Amino acid sequence: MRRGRRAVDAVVVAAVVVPFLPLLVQAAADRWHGRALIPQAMGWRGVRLSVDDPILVRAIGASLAVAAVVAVTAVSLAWPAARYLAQSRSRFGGAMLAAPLLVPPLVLGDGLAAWLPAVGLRSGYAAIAVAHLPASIAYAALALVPAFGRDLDELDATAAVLGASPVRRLVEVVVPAARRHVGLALALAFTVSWSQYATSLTVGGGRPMLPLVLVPFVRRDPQVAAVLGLVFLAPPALTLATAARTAGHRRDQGRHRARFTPLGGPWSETWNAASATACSRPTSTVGGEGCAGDRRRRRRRRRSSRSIVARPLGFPSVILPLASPTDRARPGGTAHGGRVLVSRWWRRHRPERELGRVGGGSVGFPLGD
Amino acid sequence: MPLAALPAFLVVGVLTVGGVIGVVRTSLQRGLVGGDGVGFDAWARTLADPGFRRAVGFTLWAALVSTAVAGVAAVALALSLRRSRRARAALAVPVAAPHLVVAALAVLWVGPGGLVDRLVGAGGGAVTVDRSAWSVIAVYVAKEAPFLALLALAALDEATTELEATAALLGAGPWARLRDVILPRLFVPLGAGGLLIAAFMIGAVEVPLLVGPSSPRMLGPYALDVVRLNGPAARADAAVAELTAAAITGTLALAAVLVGRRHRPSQAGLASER
Repeated sequence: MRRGRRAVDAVVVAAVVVPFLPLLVQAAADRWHGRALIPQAMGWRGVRLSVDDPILVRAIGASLAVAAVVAVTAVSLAWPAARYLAQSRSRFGGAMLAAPLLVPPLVLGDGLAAWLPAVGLRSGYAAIAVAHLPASIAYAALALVPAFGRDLDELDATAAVLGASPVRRLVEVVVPAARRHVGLALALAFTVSWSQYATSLTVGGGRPMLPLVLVPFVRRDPQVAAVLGLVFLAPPALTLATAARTAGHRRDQGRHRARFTPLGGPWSETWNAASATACSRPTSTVGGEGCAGDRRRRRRRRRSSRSIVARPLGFPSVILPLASPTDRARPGGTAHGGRVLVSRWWRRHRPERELGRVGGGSVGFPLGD
Repeated sequence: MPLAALPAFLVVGVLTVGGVIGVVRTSLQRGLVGGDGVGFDAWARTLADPGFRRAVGFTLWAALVSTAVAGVAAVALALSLRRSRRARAALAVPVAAPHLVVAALAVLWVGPGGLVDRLVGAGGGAVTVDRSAWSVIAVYVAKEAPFLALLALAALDEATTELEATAALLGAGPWARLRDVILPRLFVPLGAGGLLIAAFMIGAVEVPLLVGPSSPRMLGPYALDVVRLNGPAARADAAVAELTAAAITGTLALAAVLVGRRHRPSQAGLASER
């Protein structure tokens, strides 16, 4: 059974990877005439020609610059929109953000080319960047929505109760906590802008961009086309790696949350049973069944979730149990101890009026309740 | 809606709606764009052009066949790979590759002097003499089937497995389970994904430009050709072709929403499923 599954895996991986190999061979094939199965001469001609051609260099540079500007702008704009969509689950908002994906890029480009000059954006890289924005924002929002889950809200609330201002919470708590999703959103928005052909063609007014200069080379000089194709593939490959990392992290988070979920009932039993069967070295833990590897992973994760809140805010490590939302859900956990420690720290470091405002004059915090 | 979220919606809304309005305005221009006259001349001229009608039919044929074949391939892929995480990760590779690179690869494989030409001495140059858009369809199926398969795999979750087990306990055979359990679960994600890729194909330029036939043209290359051959005065004609592509996409989206609403399982049904 396992051998059969491995064979299927191998076939799929080969079916996915093999079609891309001619790109590598062609990029290095200085001479490949007739019906020869392998090139007669290998070399760096394709790379040399690409580097020596000022238009190609300019196109690659322009594509990089435009995609970088678009990615940063799109993620900055998509961040609050994604938060709103995650919290409200607004169908209208989602449909509105997804609308550019249903409009053909040629329509968007030609339509924008008709009126962008009227608002002072004549054909040029700025106009190209503007034309790339709608699709990039849509994809960035798509990548950011899953970041705004319960954990992030709890971290934000924790930082708020600890006295961080909204800007500080955003910069030092929320964005670092969602950094993997932000990375994925940046990579996606970059890739979307990087791959745009029709909008760059219609709005750019002849400005060289990588997709535009690649097309004529496909028939004219396959070696240069292959080199450009490999350059063109680099950002999507990076996006894929980022996405894989994000997916792995999300899977870990899901497992982590499930084992300490305070839900109770059949769901937690199912999860505990699943974790017990998945564990190679079972041990008994406070929260139920677990395993040694899991415990190490949990400790590592707890440390990282602590650092997300506490390190940037400059809080001492004694208050850290409070910063980990999962600890509060743990039977016999550290919520109470954390609360006391925070109170002591707070009394030493915060003026009285702030203590009164946040804690209502008492030493206890409402956080763990 | 919070104020902070407004800029994203404004930018997307203004640029998207503005883009469509810009093309509508261009399509109504008489003569050179920016001239005085407004009318439906370009519409009448383009709709009467047999080349345009062929382009519409050809685009619809290529998009619908690609989507259908990619959908079937995606279901087959998803069902055979649902227990393999490694294969699932591998499927993401073609999804991330840009369409332009996949089209360039198609030329390297089956273009004149391509690998197929070298290996078997026949079939090379298929992309240059292909009048049935099979090259375009093959590129889109290779690119989009993994995307749809990933959507299908996401829908084949634990709840689906439990439903399948229940159906098997009640005596349903493999075919009945596929028809009554799996396909209904895949309907919405595959429908939405299929709509997205069909919309993309209908308005796409780069793949038909590289691997599509020179006649008949798909709508995107047709619009570019009109301007290239007849000069800037023909931009209104090109706008008509582009708006036709947008209208087809809009119709497909509307149809998908309506069908999706009819097939959406009720809350009670979902609760009983769980």
